[in-house]
This record gives sequence, C-alpha cells and structure tokens, in this order.
Amino acid sequence: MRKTYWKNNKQFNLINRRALANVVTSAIILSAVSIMGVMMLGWSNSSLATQKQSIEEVFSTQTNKIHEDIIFDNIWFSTTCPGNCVNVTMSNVGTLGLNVTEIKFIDGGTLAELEIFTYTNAGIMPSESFSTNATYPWTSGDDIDIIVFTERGNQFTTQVIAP
Amino acid sequence: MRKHRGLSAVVGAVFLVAVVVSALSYVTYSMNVLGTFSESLITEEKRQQDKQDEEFEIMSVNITPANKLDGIVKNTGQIPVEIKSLWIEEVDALDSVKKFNIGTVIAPGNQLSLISSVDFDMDPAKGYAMKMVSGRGHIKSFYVNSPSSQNLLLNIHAIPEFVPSEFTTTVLFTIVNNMSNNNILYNLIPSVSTTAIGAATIDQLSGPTPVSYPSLGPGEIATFEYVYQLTGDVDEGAIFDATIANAVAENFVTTTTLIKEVTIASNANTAFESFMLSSVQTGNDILYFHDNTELTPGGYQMDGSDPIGGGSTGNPSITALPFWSTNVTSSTVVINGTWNSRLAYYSNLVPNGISQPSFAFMFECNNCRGTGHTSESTGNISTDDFVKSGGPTWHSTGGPHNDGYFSYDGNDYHSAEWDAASEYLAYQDISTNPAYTAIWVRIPATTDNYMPIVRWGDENESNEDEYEIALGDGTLGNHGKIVYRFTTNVDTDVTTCVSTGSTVYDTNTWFHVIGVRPADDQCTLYIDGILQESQSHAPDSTSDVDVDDPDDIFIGFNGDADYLIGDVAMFMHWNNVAALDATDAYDLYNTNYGTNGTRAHFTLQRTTGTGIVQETIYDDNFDLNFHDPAKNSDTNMRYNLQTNDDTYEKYSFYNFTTITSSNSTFAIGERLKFEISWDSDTQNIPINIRFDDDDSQFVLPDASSYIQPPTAVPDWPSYTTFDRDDKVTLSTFNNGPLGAWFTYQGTRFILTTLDGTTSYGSLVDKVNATSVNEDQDSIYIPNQNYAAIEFFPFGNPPQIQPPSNQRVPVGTYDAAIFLSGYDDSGNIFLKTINLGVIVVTD
Repeated sequence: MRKTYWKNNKQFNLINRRALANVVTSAIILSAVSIMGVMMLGWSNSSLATQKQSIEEVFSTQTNKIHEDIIFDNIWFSTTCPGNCVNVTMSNVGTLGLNVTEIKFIDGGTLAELEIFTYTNAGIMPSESFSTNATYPWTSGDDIDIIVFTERGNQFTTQVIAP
Repeated sequence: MRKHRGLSAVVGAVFLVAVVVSALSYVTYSMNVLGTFSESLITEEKRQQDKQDEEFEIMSVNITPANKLDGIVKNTGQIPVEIKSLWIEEVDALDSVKKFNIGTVIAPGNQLSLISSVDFDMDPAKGYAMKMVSGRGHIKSFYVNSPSSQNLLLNIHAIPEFVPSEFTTTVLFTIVNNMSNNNILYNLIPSVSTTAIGAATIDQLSGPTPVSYPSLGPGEIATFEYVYQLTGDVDEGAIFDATIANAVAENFVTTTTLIKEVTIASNANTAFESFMLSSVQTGNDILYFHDNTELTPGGYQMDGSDPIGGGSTGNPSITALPFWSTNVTSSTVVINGTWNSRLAYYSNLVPNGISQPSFAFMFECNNCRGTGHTSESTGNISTDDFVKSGGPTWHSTGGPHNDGYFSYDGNDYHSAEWDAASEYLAYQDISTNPAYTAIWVRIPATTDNYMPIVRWGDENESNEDEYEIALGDGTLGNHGKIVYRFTTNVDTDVTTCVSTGSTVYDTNTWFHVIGVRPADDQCTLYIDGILQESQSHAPDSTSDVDVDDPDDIFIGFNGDADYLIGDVAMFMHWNNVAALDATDAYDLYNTNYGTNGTRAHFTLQRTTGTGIVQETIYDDNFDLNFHDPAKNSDTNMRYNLQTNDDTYEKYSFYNFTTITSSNSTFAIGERLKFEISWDSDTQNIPINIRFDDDDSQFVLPDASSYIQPPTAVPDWPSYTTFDRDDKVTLSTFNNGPLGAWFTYQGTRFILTTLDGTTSYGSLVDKVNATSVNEDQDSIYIPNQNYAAIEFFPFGNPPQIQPPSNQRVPVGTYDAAIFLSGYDDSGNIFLKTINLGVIVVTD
C-alpha cells in the first residue's frame, strides 16, 4: 500500500525517497568506519612504533651490557705519584668498546666508601687497556675493594691488600 | 535493513584485516627481536666458552747465565692463546713494576720462549712476582725466587736427633706450596743456617740436595736434604734454622741435634778427608781444562785429573770458554795469592774482520824449516819458504812490538819463488787481481836514493813486471820517501804512490806501510795507518802484473844491484782480495804482533752449584803475547795455520796472572768458574787455545792449558769420570792428629743410581801401592800425609774382578766412600764420605 502524506497542501510519495536514505546512511557508515579504521591504524602504528623503540632500546642496552667485559691486568701500589696512589690497569676483553666512568674504592672491612674517581675520557676499545693512577693515601695492610663502573651501568669488582 | 547487510560484512572485514595485520606485524617484530637476542646470547656464550677452553701453563722459569729472564709458556688447551702481557714486580720493592707487551699467539700444543719476547735483567738474589695475562683475560700469577708475602708450610727434621761426636745427621727440610690463588713458585732455593750449641763443630758434608726446585705447583712438596757432621762433647750440638730465599721474615722452622755418648765403640779422632777421585792424578793444586761438558752449568770441566783424549782447540773470539770446577764437597778456603793460568795457544794473523793474508812472514823464528830458511805462517806457500842469501841477521826481540825481525846490511836478502802451483797453493801471480801488501820496516839514515824493501820481479829479468815498496825511487826529489809502485808492461805502464809532504823515513824508527792496488792503474799508500796518496792512472792495454819467474819475490833486494840497509819485522801480502779500506788500514797498523797482541777477557768467580755468581775474583781484560803458529818450525817440519790443531808444536805458552789480597771461601756445593771471553775484535788478534790434550809432549809446566789457583784448603775436588773396566784411585789426606791404618773389611767404594734403585760396590785393592786384603791391613798413613786408596772395578756383587755382565754399567751415579780403620792410639774410625755425582764411561 502506497503511503502518502500531505504537507503545505502538497502530496509527497515516501516510496520515491527510500534510495536516497540508503545512500546517505551507507555513506555515513562508511565514513565512520573509515575514520575509525584510520584512527585505529594510526593508533596501532603509533603505539607499535613506540613499543618497538622501547624494546629496541632495552634490548640493545641489555645486549651491550652482556658483551661488556673487563679484567684487571694488574693493580699495584706506588709511593711516587707523587704521594701514595694505586695504579689500576684493566683490559677490555669484551667485544664492544666501553667507557669507564667511575672507579670507587671501598673499605673491604666496613664497606665504607673511601674514594671515588670519575672519568670522562676513559674509553677502552676491545683488546685495549686502560691504566690510571688513583691518588689515595693507602697504608700497609689496607683491604680495598675496587669497583669499576662503565657507562652502560656494568660494575666490575676486585679486591687488593696494600703491601 | 536487508540492503545494509553487505556493508556490515565489508566493515567487519576491514576491521579484521586491520587487526590481523597489526597482530602479524607485532608478532613478526617480536620474533625478529627474539632471534637477534638469541644470536647475541650465542655469541656471548661462545666467547665465554672460548675463555673457559683457553688453557696455558708456565712450564718453566729460569735465569740465564747472563741473568736474563727465560722460561717456557705452553698452550695446553684446544684453541689458540694470545699471551698479551707480562707484569714483573720485584718483591718488597714498590714502584718496581714493569709491564712487557708480548702479543704473541700460541697455537694449541706450541710453546713460547720468554727470552725471545721479554728482555728483563734479573737479580738472582731477589724475588719477583709475575703475572701473565692472556688476550681473553686469563691471568697466571707466579713467583720466582720468592714466595712473596705469604707464609708457606715448612717442616724440618733432623735424623737422628742424637748422634755420637763425629757422626752425621741428616736434615730434611720440606716446603709445601699452600699459597692462595693457586700460585706457582719458581726457582725455590732453600737456606739452612746453623748455630752451634756449646763448642760443637758443625761441618756441612752435603746439601742442599737438590740445590733448588725449578718449580713448585699448588699443593706440591719440595724436600731438601742436608748432611752435617757434628763434633763435640756430650749435650753440645747444633740448631738448624731453615727458610727459603727471599721468604717473609717470619717464615722459618727450626730443629736441633745433640751429641750423645755411644758406648759400643770408642771413636778415633783421626780425620781423613777426601780430595780427589780419579784413575789418574797429577797435582792437587792444578786444575786442567777439559773438553767434557757434563755436570757443569754450561761450559767445560776443569779439575786436577790429567787431560784425557785428543783434546780440543777453542777460540774465545768466536765462543766464550767457561771452565767450571766441580762442586766442592767441604768448605774450601782459597788463600790469597797468585792465580796463574798457563795457556797453550797460537794466534791468528789478523783481527777478525780483516781478510786473511795470502801469505805472512812474521819473522818469529830463524832457520826454521832448515838452515837458511824462514817459515811462512799461513801455510799457503807449500815448500820453499823464504831462503836467506848473504845471511840477513835475525833478532828474536826488538821489533816494533818487541817481536822478532831481520836486519839487512846492504849485501843480503830473502827471496822466494812465486810461479808454480806446487809452491804457492792459491796464487801463482799477482796478475790482474787486486792486491795489497803490509810491512813493518826501520831504515837508518842513508844517502841512497833507492832501496827496495819488498819486491816482486827480478830487475835482471827482461820480461818481468815489477811490484814493490821501496825507500825512494832513484830520484833525488823522492829521497827518503816511501814509494809503492807496480808495472804491467815490464818497465812501463807504471802506477806509483809516494808518501806525501817532506817527511823522510830513513830515521831509524819503525813504521808501518800498506800499499794497495784496488785495481789496475790505481794505487793507495798508507803509512802508520794514515792515507798518504791515492793515485789513478789512465787505463792502458795491459793490466797483468806478470812476475812468475824463479826467485821473483825479494826482501831487501831488487834482483840486480840494489839492496836494503835496514830492518823488516813483518811482511804480509793479500792477493786477489778486495782492497782494504782506511779503517782496516788504521786497525792493521795498530794491531800488536808482540807482547800485547791479544786482549782476552778473563773472569774468575765463585758461584753456586748452578752457576749463580757469589763472588767475583777477577773480571777484566788481560794482554797476551802474539804467538806465531810457525814459530816452532824446525829443520824437519814446518808449522803454520794449516797444520792440524792437535799438533803440539803449533802452540806456544803464555800466562794469565792475577794476585788476590783476600781469601775466598767456597761453601759446600759451590764452584770455581774461570772464563775466557772476548770484548772487541778491533786491533785484537784472536787466539786458539788448546786444552784437554793428552799428547805426551804437553808436559808441565807447558801442559795442555790449566789454571793454578793459590793454595786451597782442602784441595779441589775433581769431576769423577772413569772407565767401568778400570780401577779407581781415591786420594785422601790424614788431617791427624794421629797416624792410622785402613782395614780391608769396611773400606769400600759405593755407586748408587740416581733413582736409588741399584748400587754397585768396589773392594779396596791397595793403599799407597801396598796391597790390602783380608790378611793384611794398609801400610801406616802418618799424620798430615796423603793416602792413595786404589779400588777394584765396581760390580754387583762387589768382587776383585767382576765379570763384564756384573760390572757397573755406563751412567751417572751418586758416589760414597766408606773408610774403616784404626789409629795409632788403638781407636777405630768409621767414616762415610759423599763424593757427589760421578760419571762412568766405557
């Protein structure tokens, strides 16, 4: 049954306007879907990229830390630095270059910090050595823990007793 | 609504695709990350595995005779090892740290010699802590000569703890390496000091045995043995304090041995001391040089036994000649006085670095190889030597170096042939070759404008060229000058060099001339090592100095009517040898052919058994005479450089002598070292020293080379090498205070293999040539007299003549003597004397 209605003394036929409504609603839906899809893809890309970068950084930092390795070639006590000092010679036996940023002397008995030495130019290439005279007024029999810190956050520890 | 269903599917698909793509992308990335991480872990694990697989051992560490660090590092793992560096720190010496970069890769199973990588001077008396670092970070710590600052587990025992007077006690000193960090000790040297209790006398008879341990690993034990004889009253004795070289101060142990009465026998006070053991004895105070090298720390033996065998000739300018006494078996005091080494040697003719001459007349003998002949020293002229005509006069001294020379009076000369291979072995002619000639000459004032000194070419032969050194050339302008000239076309095509300036040489003083023909048409003249003139003439058609007729080399004559009035002390010629330069000419002029021909370096030292120097008695150069190998030529035989080295007459004798002003005391186990070495070749004539030659012509005092130290108390022991089939004679000395007899039963000589598994014994045969047997004791040995005890060959069982299959085999043995007897007060004596290590030959 054909429906009609009147408006301002004009008769309108509803059957003739149905197709237009479909097109409009489809367009609206598609637009909404597109916008939502684009937004979701954008969010997805952005979120994943951030995630990737974060993982990348964590991963490379941890991997590089694993590859860092130092051995203490020799540690010897001197009295002519001038004054007393401790010579610390270490070698990079890992596969990556590293930067020594700090050497800390700890009392082996009380664990109190004795001296901290900071370095800004102590890079060691693989298979190379780094030697430093750490000025410290050691006395015979001193039990000293030596901790070497690298830029990547590794710590290498050894213990010596002053002659 | 039905028409929207398709759209819903599309929308759903889009979402699905977006979600799936995002998920896949994330999963893929995650997988990649995990993969990379795994690879990274694998790489690190491989590095850690390599580090674990890396193994190297320091097989040995020692000190060379030149006190350099040496040792062997071996790769004992399955992968290559890079030895990166070695740190050396002198113990108890701060700031003595040294780092040596090595950087050598050792393949699995291969070794690295430290001396090739590390040049480090060590002091044998000091201790060193060392660290070796590998490329992968392994560190080996070890100590040389020192246990560093750590205590070691030490033990000492005296066995027995109670002994009768004059009996021995054995001190065993053990060391356990219980240091932390698994450190290894290298060159472990014990030290035992003794303190007498009361008035006891402590004699160290042997030890330490061994002298040192080359290395002591973690947990390993070193044991050193000492044997002491104690003499004294009851309850006297000895305290033994033991430690090791360079130990920490508190690281020592102590034990005590006391003298107690033994009631089962009364002991004689008579004391016999063993001095030498040899099948042949000559003197107690002479140490002959031997060419045997066994049982020395690197070099030759020297002891009182006679030279045995064909002998050897050594040239210290090529290889230093160190001679070592054997370890003294009791404390030995060498009284201050004269050390005298008589050397049998002949000299080379020129210093090393200067070409050997083609012939050389040193004029150190007269009428050698027959009346009227003068021998040549190289041996290159085969038969005639130089023949005197008119009798030039020979003087044994008075030359430029107080050596021999001939005087020519103007009517005499020497001449020789230069024309046949049968006479001159290498060169029949000067020909076209480069050549040069050197002479020492002295000419008194003369008015003659031409006097030939040495010359090739007979002036009377019309077809001979000339080559000569002369005073003047016949012209007034060159009167008194030295002229060196040669011709290649009889009397024409002359090349001449004349001494420069107004200096004349007829001044009756010695001067040295070298005329050089670098090539044809060129000449150079040196006088007293200084270049005078160098000439070069235009080339011409001939270049052959042809002087090949009979009697065509002259000294003091030109073959016609001109003679020399003067003296010639040496005449050397080099033919077909590259021309010498100004440096060689200067060195040749300064080479001494008389009393200072050779500056050999002599070293006399007291050392440990392993050669570590304890005291230097002499260490300096000493001048030796030039010894012409032709000097002893006689009517029947000519001797020269080509004569075999085992010919007695080739050698002359001269002494190295030094006098000491203080005594030297050799502790048990120490040695005397006498070394002849070489400091410089410059103006220094090498010598060839004969030693260990048993030729019967070598008779004291002109025996095969030896050294005679001042009086030593007791006398020097000998290396004991004897034939398994021979009887062996032991020299002993009765120190008194009483005379004594030896008994047959109980006097034995024992050899024990070094591993202690087998022993051989020998029965006594004679004492001072008088038989000793079960029916007869020895003849009486008065106080302060020697006793030569002769033993039968060694066997197992010991017997008078053991068959060959029961005789002691060839080898190295520990030797000990058991002496049994009684003195003229009726007391018995029993004594064991350790003789150290001996060698049995066949």
